[in-house]
Amino acid sequence: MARGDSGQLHTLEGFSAAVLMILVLIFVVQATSITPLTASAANLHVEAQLQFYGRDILAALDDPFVEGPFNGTPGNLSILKYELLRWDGQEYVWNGSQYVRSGASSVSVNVSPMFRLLSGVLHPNGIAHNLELIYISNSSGDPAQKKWIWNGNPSLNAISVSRTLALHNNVTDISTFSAFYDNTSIGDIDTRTCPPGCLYNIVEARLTLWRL
Amino acid sequence: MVRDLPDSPRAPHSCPPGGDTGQISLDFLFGIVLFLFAFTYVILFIPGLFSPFDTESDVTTLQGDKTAIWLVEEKLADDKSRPGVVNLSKLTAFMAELNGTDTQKTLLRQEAGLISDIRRLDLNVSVDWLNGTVNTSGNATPSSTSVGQTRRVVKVVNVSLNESGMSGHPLIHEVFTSTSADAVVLFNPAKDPVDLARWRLTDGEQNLTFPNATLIGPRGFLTIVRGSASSFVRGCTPDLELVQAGSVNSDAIPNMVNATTAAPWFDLDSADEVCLYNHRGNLTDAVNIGAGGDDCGDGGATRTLSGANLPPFTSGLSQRRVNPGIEGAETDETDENWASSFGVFTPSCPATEAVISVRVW
Repeated sequence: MARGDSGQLHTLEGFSAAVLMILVLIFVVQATSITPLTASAANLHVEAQLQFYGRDILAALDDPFVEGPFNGTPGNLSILKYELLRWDGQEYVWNGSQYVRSGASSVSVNVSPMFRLLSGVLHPNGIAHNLELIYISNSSGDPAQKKWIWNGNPSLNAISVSRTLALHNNVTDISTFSAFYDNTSIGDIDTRTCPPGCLYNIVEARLTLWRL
Repeated sequence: MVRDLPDSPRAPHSCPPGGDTGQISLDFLFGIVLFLFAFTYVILFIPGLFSPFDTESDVTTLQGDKTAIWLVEEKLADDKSRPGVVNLSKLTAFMAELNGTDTQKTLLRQEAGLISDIRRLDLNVSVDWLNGTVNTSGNATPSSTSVGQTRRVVKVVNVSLNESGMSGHPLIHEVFTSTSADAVVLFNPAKDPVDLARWRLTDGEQNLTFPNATLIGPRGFLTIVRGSASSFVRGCTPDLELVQAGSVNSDAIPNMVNATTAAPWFDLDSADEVCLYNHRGNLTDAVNIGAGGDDCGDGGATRTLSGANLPPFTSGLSQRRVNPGIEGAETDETDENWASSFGVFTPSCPATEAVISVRVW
């Protein structure tokens, strides 16, 4: 019809305008929601701060120059290694005031130096954290994972920091921690006589931090 | 009568028949206008979004990060190969300087790179010890400007790894006296652990032996306390306790073995001494407290006293060897190698962790 297309929806133009408007809306919504948990520009500093925390804590814990409260500790062990070797293999959770064994609310409070540092630094700042161990589980080198501290699944914007610990039969003196294998099932991956088979296992301690 | 009129000449059509292609339709115009409105809105709105984080705050945030890295990994670092390990004496000196004169503060700000042609930034640093003590230095942070803050977790040690001329055996490192509590800190300067089994610690009257399998690590400390443990330590647990009637006895801390159980217990006073004997019964180190405290009562070693004794200990403060692990000329330590004041950080704990907050504006 010659005069009938006034008032008609021009499909293509209308469609493209709608798409444009939706894009603009999405853009506006994304740009406005600046909270510590969104991946916006303001979050960069929050993430950098979490990374500082994680790196610093693991560095302080793994400093081999041990001073102070290590009565009976063989030399050259960092706090982290020492705590790992005497770990009971249980999963710990923060109950609001202390670390307790998961699923057993009133027993096994852990007040070791490592737990003290984690709770002293992270909890007052509202940072939740998980500590996992990834170790070599068999002779073909397959990794396995164990949870040491587990406070739930991390949020999407969590920061993860790792430290690799080499355990040796002679240096770390695994033999004095006789219950280590029974507790943790982290075994000797190099079973030759020491030396040369002094490597015991390689454990990655992975600390995951996120804002509550 | 109505009839069909023959087509009369009419005014020509405003547009040619079938010719509305190329015309802007209302819908499209409407869409475009809306889009432009939205676009303008976004352009105008975005700067407002970031007004709390205006350009100045980017600068302070970045400078805060940079200053914290400089402070922890360079200025206060005990040894640059051990990132995150901070030397206590450097930290104490830095905090004192930042609380010092304006010239000192300006020099520190220059060193931190906070002063340039276009901008002069101010600096404030606080140290949060894990037991809740907070030390703050520098000008107070303003309430109106944006302040960039970066926090670093550090391990604070009070002896560095690079000492030369250190003794080969454990020494008395620090002595703390007060009416209700005493503490003795031993330091092992050697590179191997030392088993203190059958070693003795005396104050001239009481002999205390170490429990079996008391290892003091290489370059490690051992803290022995009497009285309430919490009055000594910044979040550190003492290694051994002297248990006294009425004093706190923590089950988690092993006790020193008392050779003679009769009172008085090991109790340091204003004229006293601390003597450390090794497993062979030889005097290894002795520290005199105040005038008159010069008798370790054993006679196992020839001791020549020269110079003054240690200045009287201030109750509630500790005295510490200035150069850890380095023995004085005599077996008896006189004042040449000891210092009496450790400022805000006394009494000290051998090593602990702290959070250093760096604020820049």
